[in-house]
Amino acid sequence: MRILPRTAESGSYAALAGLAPKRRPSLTPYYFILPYLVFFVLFRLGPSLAGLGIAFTNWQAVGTPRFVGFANFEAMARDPRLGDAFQNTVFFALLTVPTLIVLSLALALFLNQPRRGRAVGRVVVFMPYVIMSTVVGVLWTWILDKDFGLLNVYLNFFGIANVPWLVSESTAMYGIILTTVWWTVGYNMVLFLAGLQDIPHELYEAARIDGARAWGVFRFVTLPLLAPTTFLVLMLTIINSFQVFDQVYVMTSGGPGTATLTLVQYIYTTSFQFQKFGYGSAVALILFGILVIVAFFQIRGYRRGLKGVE
Amino acid sequence: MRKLSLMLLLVALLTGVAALNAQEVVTLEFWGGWTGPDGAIMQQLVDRYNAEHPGVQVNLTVQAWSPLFDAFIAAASAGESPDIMAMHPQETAMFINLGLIEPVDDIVATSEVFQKDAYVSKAWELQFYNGQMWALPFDLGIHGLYYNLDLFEAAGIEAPPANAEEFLAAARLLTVDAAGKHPGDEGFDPANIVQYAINMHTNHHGFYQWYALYNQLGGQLLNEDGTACAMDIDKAVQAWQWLQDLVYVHYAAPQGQTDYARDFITGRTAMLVDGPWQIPAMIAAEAEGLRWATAPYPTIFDKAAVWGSGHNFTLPTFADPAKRDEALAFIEWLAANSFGWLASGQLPIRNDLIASEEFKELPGRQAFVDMLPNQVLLPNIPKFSEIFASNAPTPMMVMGQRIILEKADIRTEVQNACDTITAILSVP
Amino acid sequence: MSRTISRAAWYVLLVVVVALVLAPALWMLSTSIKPEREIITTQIRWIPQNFTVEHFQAIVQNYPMMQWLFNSLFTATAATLLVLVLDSMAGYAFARMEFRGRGLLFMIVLSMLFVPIQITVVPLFILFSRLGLTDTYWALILPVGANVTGVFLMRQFFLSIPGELEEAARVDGASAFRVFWSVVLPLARPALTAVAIITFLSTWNSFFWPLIVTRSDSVRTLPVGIAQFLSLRAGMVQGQMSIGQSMAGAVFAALPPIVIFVILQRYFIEGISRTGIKG
Repeated sequence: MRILPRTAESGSYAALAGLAPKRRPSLTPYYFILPYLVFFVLFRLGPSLAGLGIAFTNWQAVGTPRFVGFANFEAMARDPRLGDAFQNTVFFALLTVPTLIVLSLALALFLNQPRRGRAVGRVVVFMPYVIMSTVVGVLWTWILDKDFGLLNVYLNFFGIANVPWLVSESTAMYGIILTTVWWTVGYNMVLFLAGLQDIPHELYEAARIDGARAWGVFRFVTLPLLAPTTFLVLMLTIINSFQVFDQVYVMTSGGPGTATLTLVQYIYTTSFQFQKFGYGSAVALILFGILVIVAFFQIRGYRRGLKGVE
Repeated sequence: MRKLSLMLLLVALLTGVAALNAQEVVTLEFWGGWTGPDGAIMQQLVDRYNAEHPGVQVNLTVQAWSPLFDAFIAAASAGESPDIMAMHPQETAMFINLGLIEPVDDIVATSEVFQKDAYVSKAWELQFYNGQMWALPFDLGIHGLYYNLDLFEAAGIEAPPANAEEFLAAARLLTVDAAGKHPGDEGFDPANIVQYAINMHTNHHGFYQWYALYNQLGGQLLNEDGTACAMDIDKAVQAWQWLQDLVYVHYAAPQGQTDYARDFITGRTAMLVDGPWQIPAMIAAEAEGLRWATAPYPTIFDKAAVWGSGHNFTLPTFADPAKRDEALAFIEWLAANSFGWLASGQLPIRNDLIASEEFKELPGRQAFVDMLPNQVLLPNIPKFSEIFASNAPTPMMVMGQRIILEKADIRTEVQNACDTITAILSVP
Repeated sequence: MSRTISRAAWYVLLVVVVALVLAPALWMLSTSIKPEREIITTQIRWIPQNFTVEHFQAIVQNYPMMQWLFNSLFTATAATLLVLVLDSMAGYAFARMEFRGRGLLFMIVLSMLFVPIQITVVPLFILFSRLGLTDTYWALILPVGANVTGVFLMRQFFLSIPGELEEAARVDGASAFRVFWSVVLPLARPALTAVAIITFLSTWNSFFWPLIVTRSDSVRTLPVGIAQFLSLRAGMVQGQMSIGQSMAGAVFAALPPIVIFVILQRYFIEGISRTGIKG
């Protein structure tokens, strides 16, 4: 079944922003949504609200939480580690998000070519995502070993001296980024591949007939029509990048020094290791606020972009 | 009559079944962080106990210490606990402060196994906090010096170094570049060193070593009531300088090292500072031709001091009080049967065991045991993990990694760490 | 899409991409079948001089690997089925039905992606403790039912299918549920596959929550189980870990989802392509 190209306004993101056309109200929708909502409220919304609410208490996981107003937020001003965590997280996101987007799009375009072996390529590129985070961390700690790691041995082969990777403040974050890209690029690629399947073949033909070169086709046909997919991938990648945790937790615990300390790693550390659950939740609330703002501007920018195209 | 006998038989059978049911098996949840080969050894001990005690079933849960404590805290938030929680002596104050573990004075008062005189006094003292005993001691582990006999012979060194002078002399001879030259020789190439004298920890054991050296200088970390940093900055700098110079001045230790045991076993370093838990790996490497021995941690400065820690058992507050006696019986059994545990390399703390012939026959232990009286532990304070945690950007970790890995200015780092520690401790 | 690069360039690039991505995983595999003394050397050797399965034997003998494997398979499968039912219905309602508060409700659901789970774990644990369900399969399965990504993806799919078929069915007098069951769901099979694989993978790999909520080997899952002998961070563990066993555990745990992905990959890529994420 061919899915017809739709105008942006009736599409998902317009609907996401509440622009879908109205229909008659009835009770039926609630029957459909209720089972999920029960689970959602019990196991996601409830615990999340409780968790975020702890931000206004001095809770230590044991005993009754005591309300402390904004004390935890005031304490943030005196906490240099939080500044480190924030900077590192933004740095990680600034490097990881564009890399992941560009690389996964390139891989998707490449593995979308109607040629032999592309299925193998797709499986291989997606495969790292199948491996669990603890294993990824152990494996890459080992590959990035300064003296005998696989990566440095091959870099030596090309005349590049040993990179200290995880044992230097200046390179540790690049080690985490490299691991992240390897681990998650396949997931994004699959989403892009999916988007590419929905671009009508005729449009390419038309562009070809008009004499467009490969770059022109990409610039004026693929890219605009892929915009909704790009938007989705971008959104998920940003959320995941701002919440990077597993790789850091397993590989460096935020070190050396504070070089790879990220916000969620810090939330975990203050909450569980230092038993300052109130403070950890306060940081989580700030992170929540940041992501809401990022998402807001992303949706707005996307809708402006759509209007520009039309 | 036949009917009656059948009835009787039936009744007998039923009572038998009931009796079997009545003899309920008590299950004990036992948590510990032994994720190394020591975990398998502990499991064997637990299996043995379960086999010998049909009425009790001990379930051992092993997970790395850090996530294990996460689970311990999460469980406590809902009023649940394991029946026995293993930890390290320096961590107890943290859990006492949270109200997660209970004192054991009453148990010890009546126990035949846990008697003060039966233990190395240091090990016993570590279990006290604010005048009460909170944990039952099990073992100790301290740093020692492993050395490669072949490499020592090749360098013409007769005995392991015991002080700074001997150490630097040995380090020079044991550090060799690709052309066979030593540091200080003309044409020595620091970029092409094929054999280093010793390892240098880039993880938490880096500041553990510093702590020992700082204690060798008579330094003190916190003030008496544990409310502020009381570092003697000059001594702190002097101790770090020794370690940093080993890497950057004497070229005696590799920069940015990650796998200390592997490097020692493969001959990349001639000496290894580490705990007794590496002994099983050394024994295993003998098959590959490694000839090794151990020596006490050298006394570089004024007096002997070596970093140490250990394992102990605590009884959590939220455990079922009805199982407390069974839990104690199991811990007593473990203490009395701790010879089996020594296969993990950890050091015995019961006097009879240390004096026993079977212990003396175990390889590599004596040098460690001799140093036990000189061991120094990190301060047991409620905010332990905020200052000392090994897998978090704590002031001690940041200071150590910046000095050892980044060759940062020592005085600045020490001062920063001291200020941060005071800031942490000043928050109520 | 038409061919834009030459045949030779295609094969060269393909080999380069596959080799780069595959190398770390192959290294893991290669290490898992080497004897320990070949692992501990400092030379790179891809093909072991002496092939061995001793690490696999050791972990299967020393740990209840099969029990953990069963627990993982069972809970991941059950959670996936649960998610398919809940999310297809909810996604359908969000996409195709009008009701008061729909926009706001969807925003609330989506916004929960912004809350790190590290914050929700303790309240969730307290909840399961009150329910008396800690250390049960329930504790591993039920929370997955609250997953957000699945609802998001299903909604995107339903937004992209044309409404004519539903209209036709409705004119014929079918109830909303009947339309959903016999008209919409069959169309959604590719999207359901996609959601199934994503849910299965994330449940299979989940570490922190299962670690907190399971105690006994009869419930414990593979990631939590093998963490017992993974050499997490060199030097963090006292004593020398067997790297070979670590890697054998890694291969053991990675194999089932890889097999599942290889089998379903065609369907999967097709599946996501039909979710109409292009809007």
